[in-house]
Amino acid sequence: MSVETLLTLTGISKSYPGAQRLSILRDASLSVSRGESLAIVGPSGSGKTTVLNILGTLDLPDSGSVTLDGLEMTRLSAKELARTRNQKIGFVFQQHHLLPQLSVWENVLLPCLAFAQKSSKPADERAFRLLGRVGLAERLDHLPGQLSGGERQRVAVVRALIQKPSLLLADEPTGALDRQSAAEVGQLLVELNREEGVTLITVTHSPELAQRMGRTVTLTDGKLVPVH
Amino acid sequence: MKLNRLVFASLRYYLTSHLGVLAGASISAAVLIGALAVGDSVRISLRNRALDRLAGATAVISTGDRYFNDTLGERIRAVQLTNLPNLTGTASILLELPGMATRQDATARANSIHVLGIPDGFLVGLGPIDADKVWLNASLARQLKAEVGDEVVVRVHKPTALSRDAVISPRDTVAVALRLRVAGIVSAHNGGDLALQAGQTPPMNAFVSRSTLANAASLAGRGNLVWFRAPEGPEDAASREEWIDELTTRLHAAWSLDDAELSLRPLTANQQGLELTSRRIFLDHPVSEAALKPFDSVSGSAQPVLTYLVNALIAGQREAPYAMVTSIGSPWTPESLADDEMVLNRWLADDLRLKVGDSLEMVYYVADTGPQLVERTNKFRIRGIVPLEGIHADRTLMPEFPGIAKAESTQDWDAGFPLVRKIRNEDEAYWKKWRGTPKAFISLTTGQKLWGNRFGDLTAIRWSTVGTEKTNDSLRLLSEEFKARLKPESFGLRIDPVRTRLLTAAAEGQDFGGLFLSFSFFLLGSSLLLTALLFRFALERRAREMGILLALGWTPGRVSGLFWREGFALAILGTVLGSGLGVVYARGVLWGLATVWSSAVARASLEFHLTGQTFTTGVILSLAVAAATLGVTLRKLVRRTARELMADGALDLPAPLLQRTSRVWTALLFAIGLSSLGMTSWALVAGQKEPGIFFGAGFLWLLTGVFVLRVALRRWSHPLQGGINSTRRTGFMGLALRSVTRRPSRSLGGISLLASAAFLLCAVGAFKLEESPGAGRPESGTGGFGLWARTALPLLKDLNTPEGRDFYGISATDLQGTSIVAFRVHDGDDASCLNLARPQRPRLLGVPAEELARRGAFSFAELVQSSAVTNGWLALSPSEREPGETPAIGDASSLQWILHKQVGDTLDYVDEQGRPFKLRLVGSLEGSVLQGNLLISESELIRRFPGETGHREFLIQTPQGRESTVSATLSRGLQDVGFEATPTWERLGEFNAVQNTYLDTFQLLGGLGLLLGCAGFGVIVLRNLQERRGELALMLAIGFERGYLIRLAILENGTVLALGLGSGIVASIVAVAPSLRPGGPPLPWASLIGMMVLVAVTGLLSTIWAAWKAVHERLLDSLRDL
Repeated sequence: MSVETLLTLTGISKSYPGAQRLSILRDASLSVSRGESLAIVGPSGSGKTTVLNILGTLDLPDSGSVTLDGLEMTRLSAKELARTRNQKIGFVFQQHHLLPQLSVWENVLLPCLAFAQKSSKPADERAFRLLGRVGLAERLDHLPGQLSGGERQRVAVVRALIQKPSLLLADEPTGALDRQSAAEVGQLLVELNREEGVTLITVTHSPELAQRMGRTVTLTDGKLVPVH
Repeated sequence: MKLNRLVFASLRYYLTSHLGVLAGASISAAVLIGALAVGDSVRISLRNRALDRLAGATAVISTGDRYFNDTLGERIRAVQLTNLPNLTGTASILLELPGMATRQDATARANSIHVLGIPDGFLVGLGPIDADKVWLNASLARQLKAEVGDEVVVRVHKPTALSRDAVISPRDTVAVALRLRVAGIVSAHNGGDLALQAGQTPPMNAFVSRSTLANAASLAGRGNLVWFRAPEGPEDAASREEWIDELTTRLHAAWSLDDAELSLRPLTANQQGLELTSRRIFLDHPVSEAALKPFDSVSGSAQPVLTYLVNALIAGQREAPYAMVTSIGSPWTPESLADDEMVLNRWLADDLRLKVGDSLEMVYYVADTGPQLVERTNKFRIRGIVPLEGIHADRTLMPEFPGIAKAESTQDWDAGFPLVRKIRNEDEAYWKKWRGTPKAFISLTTGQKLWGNRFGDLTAIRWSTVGTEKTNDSLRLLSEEFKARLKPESFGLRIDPVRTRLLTAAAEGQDFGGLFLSFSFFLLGSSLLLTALLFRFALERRAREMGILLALGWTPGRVSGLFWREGFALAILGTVLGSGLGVVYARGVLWGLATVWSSAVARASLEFHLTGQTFTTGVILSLAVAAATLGVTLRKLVRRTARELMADGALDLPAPLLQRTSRVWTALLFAIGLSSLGMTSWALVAGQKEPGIFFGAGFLWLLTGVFVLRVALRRWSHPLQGGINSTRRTGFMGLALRSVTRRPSRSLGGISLLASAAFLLCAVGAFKLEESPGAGRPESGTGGFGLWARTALPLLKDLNTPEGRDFYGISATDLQGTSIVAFRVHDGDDASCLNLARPQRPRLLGVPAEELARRGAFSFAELVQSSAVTNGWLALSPSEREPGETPAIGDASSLQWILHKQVGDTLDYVDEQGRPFKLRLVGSLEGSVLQGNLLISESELIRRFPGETGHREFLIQTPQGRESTVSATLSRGLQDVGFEATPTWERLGEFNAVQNTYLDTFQLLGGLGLLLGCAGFGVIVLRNLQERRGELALMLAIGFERGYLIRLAILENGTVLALGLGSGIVASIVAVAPSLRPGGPPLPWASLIGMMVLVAVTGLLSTIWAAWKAVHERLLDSLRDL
């Protein structure tokens, strides 16, 4: 069976201005298949989050190309990038970033408001199913402030999956959680990767979480190097 | 889930942090709606005052000192024309005379009142008025402290047929007194404030029965005011205009020669014919011109007659005093009578022992020299002597000279001038037997040359007819033919659409809405700034939320739309709350205008009004302003990327310092700095007095200061540029300054706000006008005069002469060293800043231009460029005028702000005979005591308005310190003409108080704005400190005391406060430089310094409060977030 490539990074470079220009990525390349799970590891300040931001179109590389589902991201307009982000990419951050004024149910459906949609019924059904799947079916009307850290992060995971993305990006998804919650969330991500067929890329310091991924790459001297 | 659900959830969740935004939006809405409501209140109050004045009138005919037959109204109503039935609506005849009133016990007095003789039922609630009763309007009752049942003495101007300006006009019966009991007080609503001029100050009116007044003033059967009330019905302008057109048509059909005070009657003496005469003695020029053209109804040419009272006919040692001489053509005089020839009657020839060929001298007063008596003498040769019989014994050749015609004896004559020549027995005998039969005859041309005057140059015109029946026919036909040649407008009989005029004046009056909107500028600006700041802070706290939405694929526009909806909902809520507050604000301002700021509205009574239209406009405007403010605030934030918004401290990073931009700012700074230096130096060296120039220079200094600080803060905020954020500076001061530059744009915003507010509030003080400028200086606004005075009735004598003083019984010693400049007056609207309504026809003053030029009185702000004259007053001389135009001078402020005119513009007027003419503004005076009038030369006023009698306004130069003595002397001597004097500086102060009160208002409301700005400043400080909780906590953790941190916060924010206020004050010192010079206008130092101290204290207190609050929070908790 042939493996379909979902995401390709080719010759990516990125640096930031400062007293001396700080070069983060230097000719970094990566190829990720559809449905694959991948961990990006590396020391602090190595540029893991920068890679994730470039993958998630939140940042643009200085040079190189990013292809997602055959689309060259660096050539898209801001609006097309936003739509791609909304339809094809899901984000889970270290902090849950749930809107405190919205209930669990509303937070999950937030991505559906980005563009006008004809019917909210499919999204509602999916939200209900996913929240049930992550064990929050009884907490739909709760505000984030009424949830535990692990629960909030599970809501964030469901929010990331609500639009059926092909790529799920997680930036230290367990970094702010206690050991047990971290394990639960890590397990959940792996299961959802399998169940939903979503490609999962996670940036982590956690060896436990990295081990759960199908493949691991490390950022060394601005390059993505496979870890065997 | 819908977007609005998200908006609602956010509003509810962040309600507490939105309260500040809501308060800011409410205040701005309140200020906007309130200011517009003030505009509505003033406009509608003025309209109501105008409606009060109209007492239901749609149009009037006001003939002033001409008195028509009191059946005119009925005749107009009853005109039967094919297309016009009887007039709908009413036409009431009134008699209006100027006057004055005193209480019976003389404890209160009112000069310049209107005495109105009204028909029964004219005003609501007034039945027939008894002959001994008077109704007062509220303002007159207040002035007289009169109540129902009190007795008052009303003194009214007693008109004479011949203008009192004419030499042969009685002087001693100028006024007649009526002792009346107050029957009631007529409210303004019921017509008590009836008046024809626009204005907000109620007139003082006394209402009596028309017949009572007419009898007292010897005007039985006469009126001078027709009050037309349109029928109830459509109020639209078109139907009203149609009604007024109909009135004009009817007037033209209904008027009669009697309404023009003309009389065409059969001769009753021993000759047949018709004679045209006038109650006014002299036939108006248009009448003479029309009458002397050939008529179809009478054969033969008209015989013009001019009879005059001469002082004496002298031949050698013999003198015949006070004789009538008629200038007339054949057959009274030979066809070929030369200009220097005279025909005597036998009586005179015998009396003076003259025969044909002898010569004699005729001595007479020039007919029209105002209060001066100018005697002239002409020599004549006797051409013939006629017997005292036939046409030469016609006593009707003498017109009905008032004071003479009805006298039984020469002893009873009131000739208008002192009879200083001896009247002999034979003269008395002649009078008793022959009355005014002329003793001599000269040619018509000679008579007109000698005695012609502004009132006319004929006393009668005669036509000969044959047979009594023929005469009666001719009378009718001639009357019709003659009337058709005349226009009623020539006699003041014209329809004045008074309702339109007064309501237009009210509608176009001062725009108080705009005025208070501009006065509230700082309050509005501060509240909007506060709204923007608080909204921005709220948004900054939710920056991550924005970031996450962007990360989730929301477009920046969608994110912006979401927050804008939230902001707009706040704006709506704020506007709703603000509408209520706006009403409170407007009522507060109206209270201010009724009390502390009453000078600005000349103590007008204003009620609160707010129309639906204005309210809607205010609401829409408030919403738009609030929404735009929030939109702009939002726009800046959503420009950031999701990554920036989600990252900690990303918003704190200073914007990159670009070399090129930096150079542009530095160049700009140098350019502005040099301009401010140059402008200030030039203004000081050139001795400029214009406050606007210094204000401009001060403003440039302000810009320079703000720009210097901008460049400095931006530079210091970058450690890499070696600024004070460099780690090398860590002392107490270094730490404080580092914090000031942490958010340079925020600090600069605070500095700019405080600096510009402090500058404006201090600098506008430079525009304050001196309330009591030196009265001694001719070039000042007082013209060098100590007193300004006016009389209710005209003054007919020159008080500068011994005769004039004697006439009024004023001691010459009391007036020693005093000189008086008298002005003729043609009444009209007050064009001063004391009138809130827009004057339609400003009052005219006829000024002795040469006299004012000689004195160098007043200073000219501007003169028309084409004027070649060196002294502005001489631009008024008729030689300077364009054909058909009368040159005029106005007060510069009145022209600009009240009349909205400038030098060179024209104003349309109608002269006394109904002919339109233009006033050309040839110059403007700098703030003068003559404000409120347009000034034309006296000769032009006489020419355009010959009926205006005497002088009614005066400027009096008194010896230093004797103003009150002179005022008391004149008030005593002239109390019968309603004299009242005011020190010129006091009157000027009244005018200046208007501008000064506006500036006070601006300063007060601006001060409130500045205080609000200080509150905003406190919020900024608190926000700054809250953002730095971690930093403060760390400092506590490493051993700094809380007190140290508070002092640090006070120092850094005090620096911003000091820089802001300091820059503003320094710049404002330049702006008020003229006031710092010796003799410059005084500045309200106390209030200015007080305000600045209050602002500094408020700013410091808010800083202390914010610092205390920030330092005493659970700071150490925030260490976990570091």
